[in-house]
Amino acid sequence: MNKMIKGAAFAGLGVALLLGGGGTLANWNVSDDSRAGIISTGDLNLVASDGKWTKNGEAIDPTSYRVVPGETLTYQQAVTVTVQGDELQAELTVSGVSLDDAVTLDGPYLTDPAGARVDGTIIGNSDVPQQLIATATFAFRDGITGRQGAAKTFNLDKVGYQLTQVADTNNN
Amino acid sequence: MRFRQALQLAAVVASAVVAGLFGVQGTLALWTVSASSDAGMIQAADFRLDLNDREIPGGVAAAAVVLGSPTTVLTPSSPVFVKVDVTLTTNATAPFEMEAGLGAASISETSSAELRRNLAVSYAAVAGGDCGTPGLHYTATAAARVSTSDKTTFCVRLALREGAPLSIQQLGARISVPMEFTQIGI
Repeated sequence: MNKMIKGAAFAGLGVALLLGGGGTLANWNVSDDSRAGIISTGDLNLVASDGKWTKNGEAIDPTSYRVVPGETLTYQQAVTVTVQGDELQAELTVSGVSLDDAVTLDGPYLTDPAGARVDGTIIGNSDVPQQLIATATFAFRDGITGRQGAAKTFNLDKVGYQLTQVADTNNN
Repeated sequence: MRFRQALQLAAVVASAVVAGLFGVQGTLALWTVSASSDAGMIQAADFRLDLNDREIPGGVAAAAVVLGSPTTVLTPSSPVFVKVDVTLTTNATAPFEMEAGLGAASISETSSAELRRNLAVSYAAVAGGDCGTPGLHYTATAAARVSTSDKTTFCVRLALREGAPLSIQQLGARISVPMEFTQIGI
């Protein structure tokens, strides 16, 4: 009898010890994959290819060409616009430069393959990048006086393009 | 009790996070990308005009050629001719030409009204040859094309009108010929 009681007491003690060392007991835990899938981000990009200068359709080298009043030169280049995103829209704008009074810069203007102007417009999502053509016209005015503009250098490096995401006001 | 407090704390934290996200929505940066055209630079041409191998000062579209003292005496029957050679130099890529025009001459530095009245100045554009070539037509004004291929020569004829009085003998004057140069449109 006493042995049984002792055994039970020791078992009870063992259990008590187990209870006392609760920090080593494994707690229930269970996990499962949410199978939420993959989220990909869209893309907004703008790449301007090498451009070229022409006069009356003939290519010229701007590093050696010397322009005089009455002449008009044209600059063209391909611009690739990437707007990929289900809710993505972007505004395409151009920036020109301020030049001497003796000359003018008309453009650049961006047109799509159909010839429609797209600068200043909102471009929406497209699965593939859009190929646009940028055209700018440089003219040395023919109504100047004296030697105005002679031997001057006109810097057009600041002429460029910008694509800016437009906030979607309907998106919650 | 503690569990309920823990739940309440979690709810407060979650609310704060959501409120914070809504609060900062206006400052979220949108995508923007830019590209340069690399259009480079365009260089204007320069040009230079010389009259009798002397450059016309820059910045003026017109010049006055002051004719020096003739080497021969001017008499009613013997006009004096002065050559004015115009030379155009330019680094323009496209063909570049100008038109030179000579206007009515002005006579100064003389107190003699008779001299001014009787001194006739006229011009002719010549392509080589002598200013006294017979048949050369002289007029009160003249114009000619100036190109880079060769100089353009004007002849200025100074003459005394028929019937000029003897009182103008041994007198001198300064004769200025206004010249204007205009680029010929491309």
